[in-house]
Amino acid sequence: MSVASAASVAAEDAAEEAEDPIIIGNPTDEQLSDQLLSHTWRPITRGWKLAFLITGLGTLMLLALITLTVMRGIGMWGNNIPAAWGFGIINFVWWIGIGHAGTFISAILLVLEQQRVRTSINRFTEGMTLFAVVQAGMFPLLHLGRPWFAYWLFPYPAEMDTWPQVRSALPWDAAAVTTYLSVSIMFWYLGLVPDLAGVRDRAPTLWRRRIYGIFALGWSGSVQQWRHYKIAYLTLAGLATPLVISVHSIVSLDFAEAGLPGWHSTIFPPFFVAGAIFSGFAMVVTLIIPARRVFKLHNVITARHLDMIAKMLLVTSSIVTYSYVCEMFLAWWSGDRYELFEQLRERPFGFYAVVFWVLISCNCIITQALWSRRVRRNVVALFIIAALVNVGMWLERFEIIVVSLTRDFLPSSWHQYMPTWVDIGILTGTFCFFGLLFLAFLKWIPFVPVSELKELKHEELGK
Amino acid sequence: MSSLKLSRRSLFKLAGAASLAACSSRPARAILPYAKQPPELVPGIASYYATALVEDGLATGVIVEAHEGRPTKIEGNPDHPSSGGATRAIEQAAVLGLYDPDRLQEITERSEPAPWQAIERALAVARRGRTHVLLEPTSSPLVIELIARLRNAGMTVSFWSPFEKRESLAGNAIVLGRPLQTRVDLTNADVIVSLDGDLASDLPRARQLSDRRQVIDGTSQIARLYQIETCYSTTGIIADHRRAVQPSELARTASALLAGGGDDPWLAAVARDLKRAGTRGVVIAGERASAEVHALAAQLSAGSQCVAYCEPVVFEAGTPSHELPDLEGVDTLLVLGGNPAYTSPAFAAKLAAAQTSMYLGLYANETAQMCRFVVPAQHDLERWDVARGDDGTLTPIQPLIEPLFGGHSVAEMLHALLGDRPIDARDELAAAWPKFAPAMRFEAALAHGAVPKTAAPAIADAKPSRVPINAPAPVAIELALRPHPFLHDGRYSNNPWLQELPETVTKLVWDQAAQLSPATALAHGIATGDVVELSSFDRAIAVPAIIVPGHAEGAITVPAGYGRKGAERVAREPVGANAFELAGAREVRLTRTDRHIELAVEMESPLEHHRPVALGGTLVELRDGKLALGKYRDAVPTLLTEMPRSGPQWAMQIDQTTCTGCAACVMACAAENNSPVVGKEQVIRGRDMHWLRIDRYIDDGGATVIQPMTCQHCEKAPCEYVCPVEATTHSPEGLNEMTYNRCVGTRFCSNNCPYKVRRFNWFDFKSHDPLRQLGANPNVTVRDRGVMEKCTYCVQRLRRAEIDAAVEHRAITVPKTACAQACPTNAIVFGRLDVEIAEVRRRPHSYAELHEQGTRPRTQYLARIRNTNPEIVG
Repeated sequence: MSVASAASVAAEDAAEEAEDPIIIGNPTDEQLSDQLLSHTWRPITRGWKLAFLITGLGTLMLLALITLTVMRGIGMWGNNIPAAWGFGIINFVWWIGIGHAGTFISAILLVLEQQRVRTSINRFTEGMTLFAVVQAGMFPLLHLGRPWFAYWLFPYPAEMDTWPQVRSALPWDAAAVTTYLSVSIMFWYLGLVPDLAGVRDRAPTLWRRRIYGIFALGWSGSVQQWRHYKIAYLTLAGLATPLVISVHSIVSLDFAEAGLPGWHSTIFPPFFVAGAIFSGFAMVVTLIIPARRVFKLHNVITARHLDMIAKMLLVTSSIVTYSYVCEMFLAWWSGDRYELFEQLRERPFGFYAVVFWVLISCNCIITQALWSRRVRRNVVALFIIAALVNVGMWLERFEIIVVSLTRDFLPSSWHQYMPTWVDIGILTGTFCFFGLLFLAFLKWIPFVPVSELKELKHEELGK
Repeated sequence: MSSLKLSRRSLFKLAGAASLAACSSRPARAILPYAKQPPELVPGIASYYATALVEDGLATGVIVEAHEGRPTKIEGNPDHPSSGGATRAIEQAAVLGLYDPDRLQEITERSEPAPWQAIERALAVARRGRTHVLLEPTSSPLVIELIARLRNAGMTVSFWSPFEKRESLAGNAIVLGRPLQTRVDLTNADVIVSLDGDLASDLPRARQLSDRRQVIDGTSQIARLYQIETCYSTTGIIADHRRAVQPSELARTASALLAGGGDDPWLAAVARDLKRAGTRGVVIAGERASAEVHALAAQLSAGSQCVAYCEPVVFEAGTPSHELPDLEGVDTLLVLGGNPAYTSPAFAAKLAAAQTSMYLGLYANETAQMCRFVVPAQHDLERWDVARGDDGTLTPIQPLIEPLFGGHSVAEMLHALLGDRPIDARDELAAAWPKFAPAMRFEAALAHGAVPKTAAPAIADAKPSRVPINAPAPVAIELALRPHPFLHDGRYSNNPWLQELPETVTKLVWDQAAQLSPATALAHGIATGDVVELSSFDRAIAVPAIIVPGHAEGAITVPAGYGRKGAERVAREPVGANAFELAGAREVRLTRTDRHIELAVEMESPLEHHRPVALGGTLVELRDGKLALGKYRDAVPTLLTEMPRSGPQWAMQIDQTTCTGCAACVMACAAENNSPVVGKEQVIRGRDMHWLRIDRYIDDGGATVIQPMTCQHCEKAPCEYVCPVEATTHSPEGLNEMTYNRCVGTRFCSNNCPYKVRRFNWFDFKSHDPLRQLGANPNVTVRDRGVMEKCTYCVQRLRRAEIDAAVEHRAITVPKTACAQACPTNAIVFGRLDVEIAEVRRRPHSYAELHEQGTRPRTQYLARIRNTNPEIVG
């Protein structure tokens, strides 16, 4: 990209910002409340029921397959020696990566930028984070040979005086993921409290008011409460901010720490973080475009929001692409025969070459269309690109994990990896479980932060 | 208290009842402690007994380890000349054969349980009628005496085993006038030309050969081995020069050698080399080579000090009594051992026509299914007997355990047939012993396992004559019907350990596959796994094909032992056909069928991909310093902390020059360390559980290179620092240890192991069969599902040796690991880094595998050194 074109893009952005509102129209507080809260008490329509049924059945399948895996053993999966990690870890890295965009949007943009564009979408992306981390969190547990001893990865004063082995990345990983999950829950829930109170106050039936009332924790909207709330929210955002960087950095050390060709690389932490945010933003787009349509939120989730996310996709895609090039260059630069074989021979031209070319197409080539403003503002095109990025990023993890493992040092130990129906079922099951949680979230929880939006509206329109 | 009236007795009664109720899932079984402990039996301490395992009448002396009366492990008997302390994989797996739930468990008549009296009655009838007894080849003086009595009583006796020594005796009969047995001694051999020889499974010869091929440095004078063969064998792997030929080409090659090589420069060079070696040169032929080849080999070896002749050790070997009988006019047929209905389909028809038939055997196999009376036989580890080793050494056989299923022996059956009073087998043997071995007391012989100086004497005047030998003409596709290296003629097919032991050259497990060269396969459009039909006249079999680089062109090798139709469950599992259907056929038609089978081949890539993996070179290169293996040895800088060291520093050195890839070590490891069997499907998935594997690579010249690979016990172990729970740690003695109880199964250790020698329990792989469990080594944990495992350097043996040394206040006696102990060629050396291993590690061709990874492995290798003939290029 030339400097001139960068400058022209920047200029274009500046022009957009001037013309594009974050909120369309001038709704009153009352109207906003009704628009954004009423879905929690409206009756469930047939379409919703169908969606709940499908995702619910998929979740049941997931539970059944988890039961099967725990009862029979990890052998139900396609893992083997040399590919001792497979779908389980791929899914883990992918899901946890998806979570990152939510935290990035909510926390980093809040703390660093005080970005106003985040307001309409942050609750949504936080929900996505939370539910993605729930999916991700299952896998480190499930993939263990003896999951019932998973707590041995945590430091606790055991009677045998045994502690986790801290040179391994895995206890740190366990700590990072559980920290991430707990901070994400708190951050999400705290932000939700004023809106839960809003639902409590406006819900038509008594029992709804009671349930929402319990979760609203007695929020009355007093100045005192708002003061404490703001401090707590900003503090949690401050806590969550480094997690965006640390969690996936530590996850990347699960690989980078090993001596395996394709894993043994110092580039992994930033590379993984960029990849995580990349896939996370792609998932935001994948989810927000249908939600925006279903709930008719064009006035609060505007083209400008989508445009911003698309630009973020473009930026992270570039970082990821740069990382790919770096990996290959360093393999060549190192002169290490095993790295060279892995990066320049096996990945692009080996048994799993199709994975490589699809992921390059999805993550590096197709995203280039986002240079065009027209594409960025075309919801269909954006949706397709984002969905392909999701696929590409899953395949990237497949590439890193499976292709590296199946082609290591001694050709004698090379062995193909093929997932079983259980692997595929569990992956599908996590989609359904994620979908179920997300649908429930969309249906019963105010997924656009109403209070913040009102605040924004007053700031924006009060200018 | 008094109101309760609970006496001490009733309290215990109640407590007993309560505990019984609590343990109600356990069946009540009487267990009895040793009230008077037998002096030789200390619970927890293994006892060792010398005995022998017999195959085709020839005994291999073994030492059997028993725990509280259960035999658990078999080692070679160093005092027995047929073993020299080593074993084949087959002997290692024999324990599993003993505890086989498929063994015959009761006497049956027409498949209905019958008492022994029914057998006695049937034999009484047989005694009066025309009866034929078909035995396995035997060398037992006890049985030989009984055979003489049978013949005196008018009964006829013959012997059958499909792969016994037959061709060599026939060949010797051509040039020596009578069927004498060749006795080869390679102790002083300089040049060995092997015509389809199978030195690797011939334990004494393998040891002699490896002793003659010890490379200390580039100046070592080692024997040179040429192998001319059809199918790539373990002998071919260790040969310095190898040539692949059709089976019938062997005779022509031998003829050409006899004529000085003719116009074939390769053969001429070999012939010159042989001539230069003088009496220290020898030409040997394998048992599967034809009689002509053996005759020519004898002529070529005339004057060699390495070859002598003796009377055959097996009774009447090489005579017509070793052909299958005609059964014309026979009323009763007794088949005492073997499985002729399978190994000779032609005989099966005759057997079906027999009026009364009786079978003594271990399994309800094809023969048993065709016989009216079936009697369970005794396993070698259950019986009293006597046999001779390959060289004639008298070998007593003693039982380790009471017959598990009340089996009967051949001698017992013959006594019953002769109408003798039942006699205790041990008393009989003890009484007859002074007759067999006057020089050694019975008890002493039992303790020793062999009677020295009872080998068959060499016949001094046996000089091969120069009779002209006609070589057969070549054919388009020639069949080579071979015993399977582990399943033999199918008698071991029900042993899951042997089924799951990868054949070294093909790395194939569980299924049969016809081997053919890449060019032959290409010409017929055949790929590995394609089912091919082999036909000769009206006989045909369909087997999957496997392409083996280095196999002879225009030939197809079919291993026997498959296509089993008996009641043995394991033997019936593999895909395959009975190769004996084509027995005797030389030329076969090869046609591809539409069927394709996924074969369980344990190594996906046969190539080294230009990586310095299994290193090697020639002796001259080593002498001239051109191998430069030093760069694969030096310590690489490391960030990992130094481990504290104390006690003996254990290490291992594996010599790739003498290693034949016979896989005895792999089997020994599995037997010692309770390795589970996982089945074909799991092997295809990449989940085999052997701690030790024989890596096989095909180098740029098409030669097969092997490298036994197991945990290298790295001093800077990559597995240790990635384990989140410290389940794999370093011992002060340099062992990389695995704590199963602590393992949660993240498998990160395996991912980070550059040698990929760790094995994971993907399922609950361990055996739940109570009979099979009897064979487990009680000193090794049986691993549960979900934990990682790997080679431990047989830590249980190390601890035993340490404890013994500590108790007796003496220096430690260095134990052998199971693999090192079984190794026929001493290619695996185990010991202390600064004592036993110090010298070998200083040799110029010692190297560390994946040295540049900085793992500093304790197990290191001696590169494969070829003693090539400078006259032969390439």
